[in-house]
Amino acid sequence: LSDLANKDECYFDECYNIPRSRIGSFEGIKMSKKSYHVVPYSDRWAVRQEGSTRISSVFSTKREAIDAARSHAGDLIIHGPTGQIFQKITVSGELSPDLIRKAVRTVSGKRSMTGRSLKKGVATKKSPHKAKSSVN
Amino acid sequence: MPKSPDDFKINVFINCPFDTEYKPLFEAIVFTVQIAGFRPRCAREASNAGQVRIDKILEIISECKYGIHDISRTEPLPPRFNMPLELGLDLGCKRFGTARQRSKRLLVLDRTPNRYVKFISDIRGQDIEPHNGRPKQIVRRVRDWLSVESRSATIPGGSYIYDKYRSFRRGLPDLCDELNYNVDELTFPDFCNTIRVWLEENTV
Repeated sequence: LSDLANKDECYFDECYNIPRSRIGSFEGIKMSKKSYHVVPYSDRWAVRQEGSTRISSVFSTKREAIDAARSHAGDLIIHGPTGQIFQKITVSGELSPDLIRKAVRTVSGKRSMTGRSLKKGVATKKSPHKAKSSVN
Repeated sequence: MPKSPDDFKINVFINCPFDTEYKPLFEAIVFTVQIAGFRPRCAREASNAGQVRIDKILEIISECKYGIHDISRTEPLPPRFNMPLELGLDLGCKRFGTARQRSKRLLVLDRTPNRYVKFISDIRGQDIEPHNGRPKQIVRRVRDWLSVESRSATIPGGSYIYDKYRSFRRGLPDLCDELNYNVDELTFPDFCNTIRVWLEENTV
């Protein structure tokens, strides 16, 4: 019976494998506004709560550390490899349309750049001399 | 039942499995509903944590003119009864609700035609549309149904919507990367917002 109850509890959350703590922050259970830092830690990456000297958790990749830190509502401060602050994000529960719009424009910008360079690549094959001069 | 909001006419309740296997179909439904100019609603949207789940579902059902119900998930045994239960609730709302709720329109989807007769024969007589587990077919079924039921002449064709959906889905990992998100971490409201903004930016 307890197994069945657990399955039912997870029914609506199966699709995206969202951490329970993150769902909690959406539904108003977790409303604390703490800052979490994603910092380099030896050869790995760690999550540390602001004001605390202790590391909360350690991950092999930066991506995993960011994903873990996102599960906490509040500010997310991402550091670079040398420890400098790289990016600050407010995890409010929902992505703002402005943030999404900026990302959509950045990605389509990158795509069109890649498209242009690919076209260049095609031209390069036909005229290697021209391509050399354009690279230089 | 709670009072319907003003956007009753554009709300579409989506009742389907939320597992990984069904995810491409679920995403295709949400995309189609949004590109057609409607608002997808489902039990996964943000709400009050103190609310009992069935109350939340009843509230959403009461606020939606349209309902899409997929009853294809009958394995593994015992099957999940949530989808038929919610279809029943929606049918009940349509039958016993307010005048506005009695104008509800429901689409029932299954994998293959007539399969439902074996396990839920009481809904015989309703239009059950097969999708064969394919996103392209589900896009077409949902699009055609919305177009007919809403009498809208502005909804794009099924092939166009499917091409747009594929283009969106292909770019989604890069988009999530830019947002410092994992694709699997996107919640339902985030996913809907992303589709909406992507469509605004990518519609000629």
